[in-house]
Amino acid sequence: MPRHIKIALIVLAIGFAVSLGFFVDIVGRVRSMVVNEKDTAENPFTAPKTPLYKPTDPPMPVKIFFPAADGSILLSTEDSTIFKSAEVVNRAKQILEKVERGPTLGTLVPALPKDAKVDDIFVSEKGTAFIDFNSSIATNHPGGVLNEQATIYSIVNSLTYNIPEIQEVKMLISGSEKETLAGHILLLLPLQMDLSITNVTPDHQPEAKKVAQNK
Amino acid sequence: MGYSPDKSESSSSIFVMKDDFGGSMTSTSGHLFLPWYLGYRTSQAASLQIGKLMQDELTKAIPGWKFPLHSAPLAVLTSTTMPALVLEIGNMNNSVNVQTLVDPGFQNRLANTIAAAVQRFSENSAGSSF
Repeated sequence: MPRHIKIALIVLAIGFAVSLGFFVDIVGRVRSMVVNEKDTAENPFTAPKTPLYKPTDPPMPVKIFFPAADGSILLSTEDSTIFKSAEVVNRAKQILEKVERGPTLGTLVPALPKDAKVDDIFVSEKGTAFIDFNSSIATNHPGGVLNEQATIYSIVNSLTYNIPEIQEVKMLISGSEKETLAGHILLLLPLQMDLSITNVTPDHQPEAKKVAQNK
Repeated sequence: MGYSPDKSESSSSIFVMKDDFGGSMTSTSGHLFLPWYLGYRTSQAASLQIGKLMQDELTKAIPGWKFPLHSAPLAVLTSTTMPALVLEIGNMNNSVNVQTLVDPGFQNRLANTIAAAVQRFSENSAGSSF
């Protein structure tokens, strides 16, 4: 057999062996993922939900931003109360639960589309809140620039207005960064409070927020 | 103007870029390169000017329709380095709206009005570099 054919056969054999190795590895990974999913689904024990506040935490008045039904202004507020837990994340979760639940006043409409839920929250030392929503916030969104702006700023304003430690909000969807929610508003950068689209004047911000901003 | 969970709700609006967007991301002035998300700042005043002009022209040309001017951090406008706006005319999911939107007469009137507004803006700002 000529030498060059021998070399070609050896190279082919090595290539085949490497491909087979990759294939076996991938099959193994897929199998382990399937097994893990089954384990999770069949596991009756789930971690208990940690309470968002202690019984000793004092009540704290908050303003929750919702889209106004009459359209005279994009966002209007509803007064509500949360418990002032020491952890910023727990305060943020309480506020977002209220945004998820929707308004109690008839003059306001829900800010989030059907089935939209917060999956996770993280607040950085610099005061950026990373909020991870499930995919329903995007897939069930009615679309349109104003609708998108209303949904996003209901979340951003409700958090930044009431929690001095949160300066800006970065929204994630299904754990990943998305360019927009439904094609319009940019989500690649964190968003700051915008009261120009609300019925709240900057002068009426809580004292704690003004102190934090002047630092 | 306002939020509507109804996908068929009609609306017409003009949008320009939110003026202070992305400012907190830049700590110092005098950048050698302009960050992509601040491209809109190079023509911010001109964008607002053409937005107002477009609003005037459209309101005059299409009676009964409102074209409120809004500002928002729009993805499509963030990195533009020329006067830019987003014009939302209507909603194709709205059955009443769609009849008007597919009417060739309406389309021509709309296109002519938009072109005239752009031309008027261009003539007004001739010589300026935005």
